[in-house]
Formats: sequence, structure tokens, C-alpha cells
Amino acid sequence: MREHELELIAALAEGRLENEAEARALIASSEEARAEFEAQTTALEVLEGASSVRMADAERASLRRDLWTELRAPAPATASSRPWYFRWTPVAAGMFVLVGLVAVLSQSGGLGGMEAADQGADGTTLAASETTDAVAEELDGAGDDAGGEAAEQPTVSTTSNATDGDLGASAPPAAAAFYSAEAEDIRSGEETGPQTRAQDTPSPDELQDCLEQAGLEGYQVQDVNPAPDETDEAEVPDEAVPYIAAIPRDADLANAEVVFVALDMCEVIHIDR
Amino acid sequence: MTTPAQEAELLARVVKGDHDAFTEIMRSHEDRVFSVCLRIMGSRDQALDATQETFLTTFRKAGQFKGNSALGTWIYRIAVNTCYDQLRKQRRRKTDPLPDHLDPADHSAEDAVDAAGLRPEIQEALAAIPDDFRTAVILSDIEGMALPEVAEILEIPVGTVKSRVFRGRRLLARELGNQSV
Repeated sequence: MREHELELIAALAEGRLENEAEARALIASSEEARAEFEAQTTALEVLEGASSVRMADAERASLRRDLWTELRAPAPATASSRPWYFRWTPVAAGMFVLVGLVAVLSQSGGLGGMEAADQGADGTTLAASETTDAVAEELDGAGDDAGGEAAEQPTVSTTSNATDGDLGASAPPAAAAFYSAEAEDIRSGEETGPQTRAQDTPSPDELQDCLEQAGLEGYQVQDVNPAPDETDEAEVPDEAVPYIAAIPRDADLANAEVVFVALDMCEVIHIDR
Repeated sequence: MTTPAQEAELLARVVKGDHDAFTEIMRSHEDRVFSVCLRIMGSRDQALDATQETFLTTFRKAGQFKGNSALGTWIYRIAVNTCYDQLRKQRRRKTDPLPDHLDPADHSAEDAVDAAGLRPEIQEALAAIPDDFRTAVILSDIEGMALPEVAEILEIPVGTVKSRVFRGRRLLARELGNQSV
């Protein structure tokens, strides 16, 4: 269904329309629209009685007591008040790991082999240099409370909001390897599309809507997997989520970029090039 | 209801360490923050923890508030992000996803649910949908916030809020339908 139609259905369910004729006609003419309207009204009805909740007096007293205890407590030791080696020990550990990694990979195929492995795999997965960056970032964040960081960081850590046109997304390494393997299957023609999947597969229109929501208007659905944990692969990482795999329209399948979109949130989670 | 100028003045006093000013800010927002946290976390204890953490952050970061949004919007944004952080930590510890106040053997749980104003099956259905969709539905349909305000809190476009609310309701209805099967 088109975005305009979904907005119409939502507005009708919320009682916001002055003239309901168009919305009523849509629902009368489409089973899908009727189902969407019923879902919207069901949800609104069950939530209608709910309202803001107040704390009990005891809860309020406890909250304020604990809060002021925390605010009046001595400040925790900051990085600068610790001995100098406290700050540099994580860096040293990170460098040790990096040197060891380079040594192992050099023995197996040289540094050129490592670069080729990076290029052959997903170009957006973490490389060894990014691991060092991650160590440096963690070091810079030492002493900050999680709530403070929470105020400034995006709410979703594993997806990128593609509505701004930014598709620079990368899944955690374990999930990235899983998606890369799936992308290769797609390019080789082993994954033949949503019709081969099991239950709970959304309609083609819903899938396309989801791609558009993720900012992928010029892409087409190549595969959809609503249950990756049921995949036959031996190792499915916990981070793998139900997804749509899409490629650019009119692309050569064997060499196409494959973009993975989270099925529930319609946001890009991984790109395999 | 405080004006933006009054809010700015209160925050300026908080930055200087004025606890009375901070208490005034808390009184204005603590119930709504608690309500949002309760809906997201599904447990009063966890909601209280998240509320405390929210106001700790508000106090410590008061000097960083630039006034680009209303003070309440900024505080609710902190609350939502704090809840998300706590949910992520919980999942890493692989705790039971069902809030303990839904345990039928716990009689105090019934009181907590009544006080929350949501039937257990509705809270359970809400807990089952993805965090982003649940939060959008909570802020819009339960807390009654306008979509532009929700968009400011979540730092996403209004169109994305509309989509998440729509999909969240759809998923909620599906969960309720599954419960009745």
C-alpha cells in the first residue's frame, strides 16, 4: 500500500478526518486496507484507557532520597586522579593484540593477504585499524557515565537511519560474516526470493514500502528472511535479525551490491559490496 | 507550566549547584518521566531506576542544554535513551523478558498492574514489539504527545515517527491477536 493510503487509514482510525469518504472507500475496496484499519483501531482502543502513571508517595520519596544520596556522594575517581599506567594499560593491551594479529596473519599470507581478505569480504566490516580506534574510543570514554553518553548517542546502535540518504551501515563482525555469506548465495542465484520462505512473509507491497522507508527507493527485493535463526547455516549469530535483502534495480545480480534491511524496523543494517 | 525563559533561569541555577532549582525541575517532570520509563521497561522497579538515572544525567549535563528544544523534550530524550541502555544491558545479561510484576503468583504485582492502568495482556503485548516501535506508540498514544514533539525527543523525522506509530499499532494488534489464540 502507498504511504498516502496508510496515512489515510491512520487518520481515519484516529478520528482526524473531516471528510472520511476517501478513506471509507479505500477500506471498502481493499481487504488489505481493511485489515490495516482494524489493526489501527484495535490498538487505539486498547490504549485508550491508558494514561500517564504517577509514582506512589513511597516511590517518590525513595527516588528523591536515592537521587540526592548519589548527587551528594564524593565524585568517583577520574582518569586524571589515577596513576598514569591506569590510562595506558588498555592501550598497551590493544597494541599487543594488534601486533599478535599482524604476526599471525603475516605468517599465513603476508600483510597483502590481509588487505585482500578485507577487500574480498564486506568492505564495511571492521578492519584491524578500526579495532585500535575502538580501543582509543573506549579509553576516551573512561569515566563517563552511561546515562551521560546516552543523552548524546543515537537510540539504535546497530542500524543507520537511511532517511538522510546515508547507507554507510555495518553490522557487528559476527553478523557481518553471516550477511556476507547470504549475499554471496544471492549473487550465485541460490536464494530465489521471498516466495521460497516460510510463514510470516510480508506482501510484496509491504516489502517495497519497507525498502522505501529505509531510503532504498531505487532497489528491489531479492530475498526476505523472517527467521534467520531457522536458517540451515551452522552458525547464525545472535545479532542476525529478520531481514530483507535488496539489490539496485536492473543491476547485474552476480556483481550487485546487496543491502540488508531489518524487517521490523525497515532500517539498513548491513551493506555487502 | 514554566516558560522557556523560566526554564533557562532554573537550569542556570542548577549549573551553579542550586538544589532547590533542580527539585523544582524534578517536580515538573518526574511523574511523566516515570510513566514513560514504566511503559518502556515494563517494571516499576526498573522504571524507578531509569527515572533516577535520567535525573542524575539531567543534573550532571545541565550545562550542556542549549535551549534548542523545550527542557521537557530534552529530559524525555534522556529518559528514552537511558531506558534503551538499560534494556540493552538486560539483554546482554539474558534476563527474563517478562517483567516480574506480571508473575501471577506475586499478589503485589496485581496492584502494580492496576496502578499502571494497563491490563497485563496489553503490557505483555507492548513488551513484545521492538523497542523503537513501542516507544513511538507510548509517547504518541499513551502519553498523548504530538508527533513533532515525539520526533524531537527521538531525534528522527516526523515521517519516521508516523511510520513507527503505525507499524507499532499494527504489531501490537497482532500480538494481542496471538494472545487470544
